Amino acid sequence: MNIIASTYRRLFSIREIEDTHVLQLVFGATIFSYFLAFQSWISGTALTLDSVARATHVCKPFFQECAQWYFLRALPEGYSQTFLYMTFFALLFTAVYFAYQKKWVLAHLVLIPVFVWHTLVVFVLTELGIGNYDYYLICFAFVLLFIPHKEFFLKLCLVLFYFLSTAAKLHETWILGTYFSALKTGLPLFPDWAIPFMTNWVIFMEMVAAWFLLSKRMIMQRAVFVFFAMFHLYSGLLVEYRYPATVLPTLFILFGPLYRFQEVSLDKRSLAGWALVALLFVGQMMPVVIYGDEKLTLEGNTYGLYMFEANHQCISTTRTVFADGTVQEWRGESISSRDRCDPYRAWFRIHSRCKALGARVDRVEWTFDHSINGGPFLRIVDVSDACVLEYHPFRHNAWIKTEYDSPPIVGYPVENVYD
Amino acid sequence: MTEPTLVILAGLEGNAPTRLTETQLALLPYADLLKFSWALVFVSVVMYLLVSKIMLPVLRRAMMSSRS
Repeated sequence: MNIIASTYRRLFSIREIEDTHVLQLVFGATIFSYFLAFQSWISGTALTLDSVARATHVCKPFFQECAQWYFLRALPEGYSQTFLYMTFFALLFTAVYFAYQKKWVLAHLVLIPVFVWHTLVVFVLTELGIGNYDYYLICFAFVLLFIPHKEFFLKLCLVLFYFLSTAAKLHETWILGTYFSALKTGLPLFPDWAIPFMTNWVIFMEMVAAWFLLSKRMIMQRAVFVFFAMFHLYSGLLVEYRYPATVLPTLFILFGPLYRFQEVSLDKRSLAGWALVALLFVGQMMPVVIYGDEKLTLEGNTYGLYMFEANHQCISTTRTVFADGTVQEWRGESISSRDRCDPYRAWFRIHSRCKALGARVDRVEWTFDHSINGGPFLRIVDVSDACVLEYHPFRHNAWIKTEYDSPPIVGYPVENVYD
Repeated sequence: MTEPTLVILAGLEGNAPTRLTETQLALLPYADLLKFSWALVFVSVVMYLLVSKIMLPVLRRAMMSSRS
């Protein structure tokens, strides 16, 4: 038994957690974040058999057959989903107990099923109900649970998230601040004329100043830490609790009063950490290398960070022509700036319906109009039969028009809302 | 091509269409330049960190170990 425990301890570098108060605190913050994540997932319908029956589920673009793995039912249709999440509740509570007892091997062990399920849902099982805060949680938990030099790579990952998020901000959304000027409520607390100054200031802080969080120059380090702490509190005016509650505790633990300077880890044991860093870069660059503006086409948009990448509004219309000649028309609109208006999601639902209806449907004519940052509605999809389309996850889909195809303007949006 | 029309979305009837602010209009001619400059800063930060914090220390360490 001792051999198993010592092997486990060595394999996952548990000694680092046992010896480092900061890591023990991050362990607590991670458990807290899982409670937050599952609190919203327990009542969600994204992963249920009933969502498949209603054709409201959306799989990942690279795993479009995800529904065959669904097995849960949520209230009021069933209670298997609440059963699963209450099991995770018990595991998280047990992890707290073992952490309190300083039994870190056991605390670590019971957190692994929670990590696996959360990661599986976010990266494999669904496209719905997840956000960049889930990416943060997965990365923090992955480093904490599996990687050597945990404290260093936790710090590096948090700074990298600030830095990489600026790749999505190199767009008029943030360069001119049109995300916020297109909102009915504008940029919270600041006048409209100040919007581009504030958005460019944020780009500077995340792209350049964030690296000083890792500095040995304490005045600089403290100043940047205070900025980001304030930034997360401020962001809560729009994003509410979930995102600040995921990031702020870890930011405070790693870079607050307990901060200590660490040299860059470059030994052989740090290879796993650097591989993770490389993976984060690759993910962030994917939407950049796919042809067209990903803010408009949404192709590859979620492979990297995409917070506030653009203010979206869209109109999707379908005309279903059945084999018996009857016609059914449908029109859906979205006015919430954070609803990503992804043509893939609309296509996936149409495609699911086509499959469900089989020979009873002759064709589905489909148009999709997308406005970003208060710009004109561009008809980026206009097809005579959406049922025969395919979606390729890692390259441009010709049926989605990019800005280079000069899609027709069909109208102009009014100021919208962040909802 | 369809004649542009004002699309009023559900729940927002009566609102004006979105407009750029005066500051944004003043910045508009320089938007591409600004974007390019930020992209340059992004790449510079990556290159600086890659060379000074990773490659050089690794090279230095390799040279030290080869001497000993």
